Amino acid sequence: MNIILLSAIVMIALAGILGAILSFAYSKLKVEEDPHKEQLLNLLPGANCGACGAASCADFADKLIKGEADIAKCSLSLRDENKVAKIKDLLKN
Amino acid sequence: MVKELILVFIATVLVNNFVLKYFLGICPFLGVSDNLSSAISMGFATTFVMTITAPVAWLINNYILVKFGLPFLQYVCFIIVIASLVQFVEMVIKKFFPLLHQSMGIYLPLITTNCAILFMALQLVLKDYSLIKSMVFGFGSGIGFTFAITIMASIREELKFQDVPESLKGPGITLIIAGILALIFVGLGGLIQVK
Repeated sequence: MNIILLSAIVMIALAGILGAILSFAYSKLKVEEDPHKEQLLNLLPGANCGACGAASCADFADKLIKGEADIAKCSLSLRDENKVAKIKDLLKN
Repeated sequence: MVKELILVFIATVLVNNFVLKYFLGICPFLGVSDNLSSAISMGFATTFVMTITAPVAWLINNYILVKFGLPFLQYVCFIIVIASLVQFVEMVIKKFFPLLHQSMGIYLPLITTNCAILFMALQLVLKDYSLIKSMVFGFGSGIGFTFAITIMASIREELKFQDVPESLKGPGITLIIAGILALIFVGLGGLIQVK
């Protein structure tokens, strides 16, 4: 029992310290991104399936913003008409 | 003391090269080696992670795990340390070298699962190295990885202009080259007597 408790404490402490360091580093090193991109990413499936030809959903969102890709390539267009309409709205602005 | 450190360094870079002697870290070795500049930066990212992992792993092992009698937590603890370091490296690269971040792509977070790094951390515990020695060991193994991947990338860049038989193009010829390189490194085995 003791050893289980001890290992749990050690693991939690270690994870806590590393997590604190990482979150501090993240607040210092955060990359400013296009606010549109975050909204787009929330609407895209996020499965990184690659069916659109881009390496990841984030990559696809970049291409959408630049106008290099079409949302019809995403598998989302087969499933969720509402989200596609939202994405088109977002891209118009 | 210094002589011993130099011996450890040379032994890890040349004689016990992680990639070409133990066949560790083959995924980035084959995946990122088609372009010299991204291969070198991959090597340095791995070296950085290894150099920091080695002393941290040593400290965690000697001052926490051994003290509390929990050596079975080695694997989990080392993986956590490696994973957070890779996260940190990815943040830095994304912030300061966005193009590099794009060209390394999926292979950057995959450093986390690079078996060479976990092997290095476990090995320095097994070999019972001191703190400084394990730092040199970590740095050396990273440099060894960089060395191997740089050689591979230079050969593959030249290979683009050569007349490779149709059936061997792509992965086939790459694996053959890796095999020949490994054979060459066997020849370096007699350089130093490693325990």
